[in-house]
Amino acid sequence: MTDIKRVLLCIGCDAYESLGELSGAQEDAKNVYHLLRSSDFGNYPEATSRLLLSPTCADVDHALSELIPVNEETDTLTIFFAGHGGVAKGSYYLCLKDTVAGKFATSAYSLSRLFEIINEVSPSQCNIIIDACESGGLVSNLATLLKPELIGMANTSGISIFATSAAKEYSLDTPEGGVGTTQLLRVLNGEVVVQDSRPYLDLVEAGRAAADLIIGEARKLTNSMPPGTFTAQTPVVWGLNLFGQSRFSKNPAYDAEQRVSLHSMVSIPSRSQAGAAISEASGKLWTLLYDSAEDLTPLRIFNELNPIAKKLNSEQDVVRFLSGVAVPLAEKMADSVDSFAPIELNATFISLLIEWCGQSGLAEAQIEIFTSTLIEQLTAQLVDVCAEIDDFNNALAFEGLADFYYLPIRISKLLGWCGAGIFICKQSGQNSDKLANLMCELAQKILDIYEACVFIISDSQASYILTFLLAALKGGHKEIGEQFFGLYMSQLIRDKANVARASLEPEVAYDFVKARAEGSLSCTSSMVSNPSEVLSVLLLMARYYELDDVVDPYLAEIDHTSMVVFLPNTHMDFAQRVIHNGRNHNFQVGHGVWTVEDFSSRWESACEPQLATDATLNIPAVVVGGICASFLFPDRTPWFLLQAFKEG
Amino acid sequence: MRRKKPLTNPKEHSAFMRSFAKEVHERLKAEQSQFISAANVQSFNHGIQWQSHNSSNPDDVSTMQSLRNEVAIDVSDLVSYRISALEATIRGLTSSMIESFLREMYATAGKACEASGQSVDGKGKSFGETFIEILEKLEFGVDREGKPVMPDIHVGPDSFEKIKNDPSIHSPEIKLRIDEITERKQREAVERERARRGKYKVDND
Repeated sequence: MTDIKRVLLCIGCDAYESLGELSGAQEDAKNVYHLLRSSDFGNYPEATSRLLLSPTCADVDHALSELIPVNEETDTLTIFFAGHGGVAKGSYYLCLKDTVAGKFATSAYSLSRLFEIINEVSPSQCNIIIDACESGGLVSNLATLLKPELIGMANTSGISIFATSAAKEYSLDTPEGGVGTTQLLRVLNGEVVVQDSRPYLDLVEAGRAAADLIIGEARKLTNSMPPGTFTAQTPVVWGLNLFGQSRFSKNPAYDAEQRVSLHSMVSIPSRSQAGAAISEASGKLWTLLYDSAEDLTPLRIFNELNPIAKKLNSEQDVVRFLSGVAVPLAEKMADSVDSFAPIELNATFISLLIEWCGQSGLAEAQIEIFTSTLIEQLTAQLVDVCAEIDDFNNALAFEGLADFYYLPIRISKLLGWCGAGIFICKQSGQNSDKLANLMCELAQKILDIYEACVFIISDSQASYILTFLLAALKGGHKEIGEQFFGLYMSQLIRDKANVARASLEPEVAYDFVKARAEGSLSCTSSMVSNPSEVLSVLLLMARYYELDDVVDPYLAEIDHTSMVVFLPNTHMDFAQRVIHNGRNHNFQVGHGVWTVEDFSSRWESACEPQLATDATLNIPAVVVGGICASFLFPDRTPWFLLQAFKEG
Repeated sequence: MRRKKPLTNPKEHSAFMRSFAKEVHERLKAEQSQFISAANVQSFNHGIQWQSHNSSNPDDVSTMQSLRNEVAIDVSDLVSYRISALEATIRGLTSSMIESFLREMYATAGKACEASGQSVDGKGKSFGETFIEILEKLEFGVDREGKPVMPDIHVGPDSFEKIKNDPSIHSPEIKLRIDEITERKQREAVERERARRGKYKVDND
């Protein structure tokens, strides 16, 4: 932290020459300044920190030019402003002592002017905190002002903004300070815990936590005022880290001794080669942030970030970059209507890191951090899912007719995630008892309510079914696993093993459901998986569950069905869109495979030895990453779990 | 610096070419189905190697071959809006792809036959005798219902003419032998199929 430049400018404006006086803005600026200067919290150095009380526009310009000379590399630039703010002709302005009402363009400090300055100095991360009322009352929301053209003025810097009042609302002020700033300070001084996994807080996550507090406080304050005095205060939190994790402020809840330490928290210099690669892609990264959470699929995030990570060409820079981008994206995904979106986001970042494992240990350490959050989120979501089913039995069926295709997949994926969580806990040394209990609870509810939907409609279910059945067996829940196995196997035989391709286009899912209902599917259909990986899963599970005698007599009914087991040469490639280096083990029922034993003996003699040659499977982070990748991209199956299972 | 172009349609261009590729793919599939049963066409998501555990050499690991074909359209066809060039391009590409595919398929089949001693040298023999020898080396198969099916014979134009017109293959003696071998081979195929099906376990309950 000594060789990187961190700059702090706190502005509080109570005194105005032609606008109404305020009473708490200077106090807010002082409080923020002292907290962020303190070595226990912000740790911004004295030499690069300024506190301006009721300054003019010229004072602000002067302070900025002193603090951030253009030819010096700046890591973090944090600007706090409390005072009047306003919107005029589509631009947001910070009102300073000499601002004249109605003449904002010439006498106030516009956000675009600030962004032009940021562009000149290109700090890796810029944090802007505005605790101001929108005095002009002209436009709908501050977020709409943060349009790409404006952010574009900041060029390639990562920017986070926290504004405590939206348009047409007024920042609630008291002589002790504004409600917005007071709540943000509670977060920054550790009174309210945001997370305990990273040594620094990001303004986006701190702002989101403060936002919840502000909304509650503002409501209380408004209720105590005469009717119609104030409207609700809606904070705006928004931002993206481009060059690594933000070091906005120290995280008081972080216990370094309890955590894996990353070698360096220094960000990627924006003017370095790696910085240039990120800058080149910054447009795409900003687009991710502008899009709705529902549009951000794991595949899309993976496809956007993976090429950038590859260009960085260094494990350390990749870890810095991904850990930084992950924070605002996690905040964004928290708004998704899909309750599993945050889990899948963590799984995406874990998958992005597996190819960087086996070097200095940085990627593994970062995977451990993502894993810890994933398990926490997964446990919470499974609790919720169980509770929702209790409240409303049909809670898992919510997509109308499309659920004729997606409900069986959703059910197996939910159970699969239970199993995945258990295996991930084992790899990362965490206790999996709670997840095991949740798995049993959920499985029983599914058997009670959704039994008719426990079948295989798509090869994409291979990973989910393998993971769940193995976890159930490993956890001593063989009876539950057997019931699911029986349902899966019997329906698969009835369907003559005709299941959809794992990568079936959503537009064709309707045709598949219709053809299945009409009984017109065959292995020659382009919609049908040929060869099938899920049948391989079931035959191996038959052996693990010692159900050979039950399954063998039915194999003649799926005579000639082709199966495959795909094994990559190295599982560090397991998250790649197409894994080139690997072998497809092809099997065919009735041609070398007449019994479960025939299949499992070929598995033992050909597949297991191939798995044993992959030393990357000895790295727990690769195993965790492999499980995550198989859940995000279900055209691959985590066969290595069978090896892990055997080894206990 | 890249040359600027007026009013480009990159997304629309990609969508148009996807439709073009889809049509080529469908025509290719239709052509391929004349040589290979659709049930035997498999699609893999990953990996360039495969090991066929259902083959006679289940431990052999093969590497996939990739085939490349290029298509070029004359700009003058576009400028003069000769729309027939579209169909000609699709046909040209499909036919060059199927040619590459067949060349590779016959070369692979030829190598396999050579390796297993399944090749026949016709030197110094009549065409009728050569054909009998070929027939003897063939193993007949059955369809999915277990009924014997005659093997497909793929020949070049010269051999095709010989099969049609060579007197040695149409002599009563050779015809009789062909019938006898065909009947025997079909019986063997049915018997093999019965033995294959017999390997399944039966639920006696």
